[in-house]
Amino acid sequence: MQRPNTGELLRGLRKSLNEQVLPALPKGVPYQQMKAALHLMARLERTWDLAASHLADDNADIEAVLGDLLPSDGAGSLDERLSATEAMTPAGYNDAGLREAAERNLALHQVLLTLPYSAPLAALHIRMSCRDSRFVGDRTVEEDTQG
Amino acid sequence: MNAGTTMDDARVQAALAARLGEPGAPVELSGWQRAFGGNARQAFAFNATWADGRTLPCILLSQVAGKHVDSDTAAEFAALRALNGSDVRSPAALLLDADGAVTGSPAIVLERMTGKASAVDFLGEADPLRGRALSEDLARATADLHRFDWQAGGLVAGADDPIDAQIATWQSNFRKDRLEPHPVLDWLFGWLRAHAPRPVRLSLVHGDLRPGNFLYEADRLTALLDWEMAHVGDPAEDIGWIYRKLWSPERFLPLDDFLKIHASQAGFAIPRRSVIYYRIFSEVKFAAISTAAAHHFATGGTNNLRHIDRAAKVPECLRLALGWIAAEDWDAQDATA
Repeated sequence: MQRPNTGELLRGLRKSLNEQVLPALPKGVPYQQMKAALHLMARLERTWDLAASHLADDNADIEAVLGDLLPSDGAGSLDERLSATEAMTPAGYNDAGLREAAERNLALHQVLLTLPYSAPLAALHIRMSCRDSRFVGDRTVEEDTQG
Repeated sequence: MNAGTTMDDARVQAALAARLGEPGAPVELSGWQRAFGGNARQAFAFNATWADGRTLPCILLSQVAGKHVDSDTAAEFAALRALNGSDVRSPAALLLDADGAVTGSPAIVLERMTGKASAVDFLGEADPLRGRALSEDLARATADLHRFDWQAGGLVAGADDPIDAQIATWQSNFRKDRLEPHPVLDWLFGWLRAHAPRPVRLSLVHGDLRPGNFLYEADRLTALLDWEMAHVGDPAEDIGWIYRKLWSPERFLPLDDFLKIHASQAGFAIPRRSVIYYRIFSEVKFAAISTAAAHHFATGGTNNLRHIDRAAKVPECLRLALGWIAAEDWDAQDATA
């Protein structure tokens, strides 16, 4: 079963609420809350299926950079540093594989917090922020990074 | 949403009338109505008439629970009190209720100034000449604030190094509120602390100066509003914030033109490089405020849906900040900084 998919459902939900419910609300708190909800739905519509590739790309990129910067084993290695991170269980995931990727992502980000500045890390920061921007549905990423 | 929407307005008015007046001569309040106070405060507009017949339009601003920006009402009141009687366009500060006796939360009463504050209308102004005139007046009003003698006004810097203290405050808030490690944002705080320019002078900085936080009529600003984040710091900070992409007046008045007008009015010039630094600071600060808003929603501090997705604002802030860092050689000596 693939239709309607989540994106289509969100689109239909947003359209209906926007056309039928929002105009019927009095100005004030209910109206503002509905406007904010519709704004969020529009973003989710643009991004609902990006989490798996986003986490996979982010994890692979960070692991590649840390693989070059850190010793391959023993003290100070990535594995040793990962084992020293605080376990953070990400909430809100239904898929076990996705939850595992999110958990690893949080651990890798914790390792990044401990590293001193270097040119490869600076370049990684830029790639991470661009990747995050695409993941949250920013529309101007390409334009800004080219400018 | 505002936590106090069930507040007993009659009780508030009675308490307020007693506090505004002299013992045995309470002030008479009229025209009482609730007004828009932003995400962080409840507002009540009214007219106050004192025993001597003097009447003044006023506004009561009361903090609400679940705020995503920590602020000190007493400090805000002190800043406004110091500005009273100066040529800085600011409302008269009439009453501080730091202990929440009137509304249950810290509150202040200010003179209610004329004009409109709509950021949407300001930024969407169809007449570019009017947009430019207003933006030029914003530059002058900002300069008037920055040349104000805050020490003579009885204000103190609050720290030996107020520039670093300001960054440290936001860094501390971020580390307290973050829901995940945010390594890039964490790194940016370190970068800011290592590269802060020496200010050309220390000024009273508004801290949240942007469309929506000033009133205007015709081609003139009538008052700067919302002084919750006022502090002593680098005047370049306000200009970096004014020119944030989200609410920038750049299409009416390019930054360099703003700086020229500001210099002419203030009597001192702010280096462009300092403003670029504070554009980076502004993105980091906005990202920190966004993580705080997300934290407050996630932990039940607020049910305002404008905050539910604020974390999604962070990546763009980081991207812009990193772009400005990459575009300059920040380790080179800059004679103008």
